Amino acid sequence: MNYTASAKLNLHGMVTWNKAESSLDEVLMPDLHEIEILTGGDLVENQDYDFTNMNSYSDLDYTLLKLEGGLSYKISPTMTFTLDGEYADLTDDQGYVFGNESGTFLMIRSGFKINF
Amino acid sequence: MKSLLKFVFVIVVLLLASSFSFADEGVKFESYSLWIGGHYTDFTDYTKKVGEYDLGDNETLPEFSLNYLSVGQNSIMRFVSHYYDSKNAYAKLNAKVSDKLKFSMQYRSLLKQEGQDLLDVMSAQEYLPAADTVGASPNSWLGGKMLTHDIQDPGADYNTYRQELLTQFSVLLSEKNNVRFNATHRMILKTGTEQKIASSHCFACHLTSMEGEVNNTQHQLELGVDAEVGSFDVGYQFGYRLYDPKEQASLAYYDNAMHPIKAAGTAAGEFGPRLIYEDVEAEFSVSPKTEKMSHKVKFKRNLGNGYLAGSIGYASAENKYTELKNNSYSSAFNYATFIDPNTKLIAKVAISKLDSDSIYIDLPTFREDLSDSNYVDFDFTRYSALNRTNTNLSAELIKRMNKKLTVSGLLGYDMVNRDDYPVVGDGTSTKKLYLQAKFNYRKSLYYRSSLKIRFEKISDPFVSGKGLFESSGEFVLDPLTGASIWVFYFQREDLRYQDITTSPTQVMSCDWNMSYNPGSKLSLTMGLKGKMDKNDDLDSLDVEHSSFIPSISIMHTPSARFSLQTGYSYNYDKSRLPIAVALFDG
Repeated sequence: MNYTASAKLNLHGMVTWNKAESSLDEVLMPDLHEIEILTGGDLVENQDYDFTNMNSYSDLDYTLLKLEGGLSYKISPTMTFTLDGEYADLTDDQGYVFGNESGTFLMIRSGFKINF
Repeated sequence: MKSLLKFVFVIVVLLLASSFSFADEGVKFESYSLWIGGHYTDFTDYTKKVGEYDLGDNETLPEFSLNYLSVGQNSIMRFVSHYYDSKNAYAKLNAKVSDKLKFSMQYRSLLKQEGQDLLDVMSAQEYLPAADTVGASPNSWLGGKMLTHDIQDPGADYNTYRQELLTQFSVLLSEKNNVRFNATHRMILKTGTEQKIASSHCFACHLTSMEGEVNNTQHQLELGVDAEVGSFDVGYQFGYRLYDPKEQASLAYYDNAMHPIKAAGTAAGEFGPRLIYEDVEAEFSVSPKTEKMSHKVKFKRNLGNGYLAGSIGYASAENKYTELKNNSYSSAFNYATFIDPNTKLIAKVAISKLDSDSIYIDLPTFREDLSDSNYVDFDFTRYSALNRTNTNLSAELIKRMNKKLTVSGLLGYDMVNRDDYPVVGDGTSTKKLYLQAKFNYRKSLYYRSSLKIRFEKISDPFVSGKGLFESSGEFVLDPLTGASIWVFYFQREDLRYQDITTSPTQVMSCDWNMSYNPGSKLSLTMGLKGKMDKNDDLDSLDVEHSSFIPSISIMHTPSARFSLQTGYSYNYDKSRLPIAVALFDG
């Protein structure tokens, strides 16, 4: 969004929302009963693993909300005052590999622009 | 080196600025702008994701940007720069004197926060259900085979600092024959720290995580000469690349070999020969120092109402640590012509060959010191899977049907003929035939749309040779010698019975987009990308991928003072692939 409020004042803003999810379907492993028939009952020792929850181990679920806004005000033909801000909020609902990565970031920037 | 880089950039900028003012006294327009201020950053919770390219501290820092523009009668010079903090800065200088001299220099730097893999899922231990009886202690039903990890620097703060200096220079040496010299140099410096993980394969899998130094330099240089000789445009280009790692090597202790259950130190003679490293500290995660040189000769000649262009090239790359080399030879020819005023034909042929050194792998003899005659020599020659000849042929017909509609059809054939993979001297040939149709429709200035549909049929895609393990119970392994009762783990490699791949044999894709601008106040853009592929030629697996990306964007400008832009895109990817689960007991 850009808005020129007056000849001296200009406003801008932006909202960004990003949602990213990743998951596996349930993994269907070989049926132990079928293997038992194939091998005549000769199962590898301890071949009774449970894979029920394996597909959920590496789920990812991130939500990022970013708000940006700012203004510029022309003090004189050669000098302009600027003020900007940025806020980002990241929510990690799964936490994998690096742990929970939820966090926020705030930045406020201000200064003067001089044209020669 | 970092300070030198910045110093060189500033000096060049100052020299150019002064030389330009003397060279072109008839300056018509000149402007400067300086923005000076500062910023405050504040973080909460985990900073390395949300502030991936920031210093990551709660602090107030100065910030500035300086811009300069000079436009003369025969020259233009532009300088833009932005200093965010000591690790994030950008500056670019562009200069042009008529068409004779062009110069560009760009510096940019950034800091990247690197996360630490917590290795949380890297923990497992063998379970013995028969021993898990009522009242039994866990020590009795937990087996000796296990996977453990060790993070030596928990909570470490890793980050890498990247600086890049890109310089481009072009000068007209002679107006006769239009002889032009071009030079491009790119230097990348990367320093900092990152996580390095050593994997110790012994009686139990053991991962060791530690801080590792990052310190490497890349140089990329391209020098070329272009000229017009008679009816030909000809050129020569030399390329040089160097990747030079300077970091101190990381060291890890590789566990001593022991039986998984018996007392520590027993049966080392049995388990030691299974490992190349055991009970020793050794370097790991070493980056190779690599150097590449290339030469390319090119030409272009107008033919009738079209042109013929071509190039022939040679490149050689070498790992300076191991002295392994890779040579490549390439050639490409394009021919384009108008069949009639509304129909254009573009034909392309490209052939290239890659040839990598083979290497002899000399390994300790397996169980050489034991007395049961089960000796095995694992020495082998590794032939590169890169050895191949690539052939690419295509023809495209583009026809302007009327003022609104342009249609094109593309037919192509690619072949990758591998010399040594998966079998030495008898590699596979991957062949791909593809068809593509494209429609461009433009109705007045307000509405335009394009649609591209592509189909690919591939035979023998790249495979993992005998990558699929045995079906349970279908094969039986015998001991190496009649006197032995043992079947060794490495013998299970013989049970691999089928090549596998995640590469498709059929690919269908489409890309549609549309823009509608009913007036100066509103514009609408929509698009849809879709791709589906599959491989149902495999006996044991079905491989499928699908991807859809719809998008929409609206820009509304109700008045000269207000504008609003909104957009939405959705990306959906789904794959069906083989999954490999690591199990104890093989």
